[in-house]
Amino acid sequence: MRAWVIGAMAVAGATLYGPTAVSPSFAITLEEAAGSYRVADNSQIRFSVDQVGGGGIAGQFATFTGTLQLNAADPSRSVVVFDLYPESVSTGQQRIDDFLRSAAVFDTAHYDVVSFRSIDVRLTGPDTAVVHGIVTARGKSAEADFDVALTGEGPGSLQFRVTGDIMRSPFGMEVGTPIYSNVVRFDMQLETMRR
Amino acid sequence: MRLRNDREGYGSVSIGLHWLIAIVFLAEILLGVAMTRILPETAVATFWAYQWHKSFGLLLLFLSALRLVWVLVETRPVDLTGHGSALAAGVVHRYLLFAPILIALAGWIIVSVSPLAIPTFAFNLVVVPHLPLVPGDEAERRAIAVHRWLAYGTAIIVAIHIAAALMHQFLWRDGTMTRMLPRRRQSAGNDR
Repeated sequence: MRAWVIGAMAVAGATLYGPTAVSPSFAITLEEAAGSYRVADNSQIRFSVDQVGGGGIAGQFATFTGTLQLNAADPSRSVVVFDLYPESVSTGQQRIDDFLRSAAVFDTAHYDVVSFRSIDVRLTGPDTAVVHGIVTARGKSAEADFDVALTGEGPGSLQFRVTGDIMRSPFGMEVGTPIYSNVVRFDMQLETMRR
Repeated sequence: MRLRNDREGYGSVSIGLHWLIAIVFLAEILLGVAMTRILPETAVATFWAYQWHKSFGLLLLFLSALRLVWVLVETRPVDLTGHGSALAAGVVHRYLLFAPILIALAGWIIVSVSPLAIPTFAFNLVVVPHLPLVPGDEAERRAIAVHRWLAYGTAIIVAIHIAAALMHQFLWRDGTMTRMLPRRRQSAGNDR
């Protein structure tokens, strides 16, 4: 019997395996995929915040680091560590970037990192998982879930799409609500390379 | 209590609109100065100062438009001065009738052409759409200049208006100013 590893992930991390090849599954076994990965610089960390009346702010973070430990024996014990540097935020509008970096939002002068540490990984399908963990920003922590889907694999690399909604208020970053939504939608493409 | 004007004086609608607009205009000037010159550029308080400024600006636009219609359909009380100042008063009054409308529209243009595209959510109740204009940094700068100088210029005209009202009251003692005060004060204060 053949095991297919299918997912793992990102600001999250996980893996899965199903008994047979369901459509988007990948020809790599969990045993083969197990190990330690780092998030490569060509990953994309995009986010958006909706606003009343339609539209919103969209941007990305250019600087981040992350690692993924895929546990073959027990995928739920896989570990994801991810740090992003809010100083690297860009929305295409300098004034909005400055505001996001200021004490009104990220306060990058005092808190240079927004971190994610996984607690557990739950497989939800042949190539999907939910990674549960703790987000820390501005010195405050809150639990968060990210949905992870394996989207590709190559020699020594795995690609994941990671999505998740994070509330701003637990971190004291709720400025602008209700004009701007309290929810930040993350949509990330993570390229991970075996270490 | 009489709502409408007559040849003798102003009705409650005219008096009420005058003072509501006066209060909101003063608050807008103070808020405008605070948010652009006193508060730091990036702060939670600054963000909300701008949003309140936009909300009260729209209220000012609404009240001023109402007042313009009311002035057009209403009787104008007779001039009490007999000092030849009626012409100057007429010019100032007409200017102050239109100025808040123009200033508020200029403000609405700023938020509409600003590349920041911050929604206008008046009093966190009503989404007021942007005007159909093309956003751009240069357009925003020009709209800000027009808005600012119209507002500061109008504040100077208002100061002249107040000084003139006080002269009518204390120098010429002709009862012109008390006509615009709330009714009860009017009967007590008008010594004609």
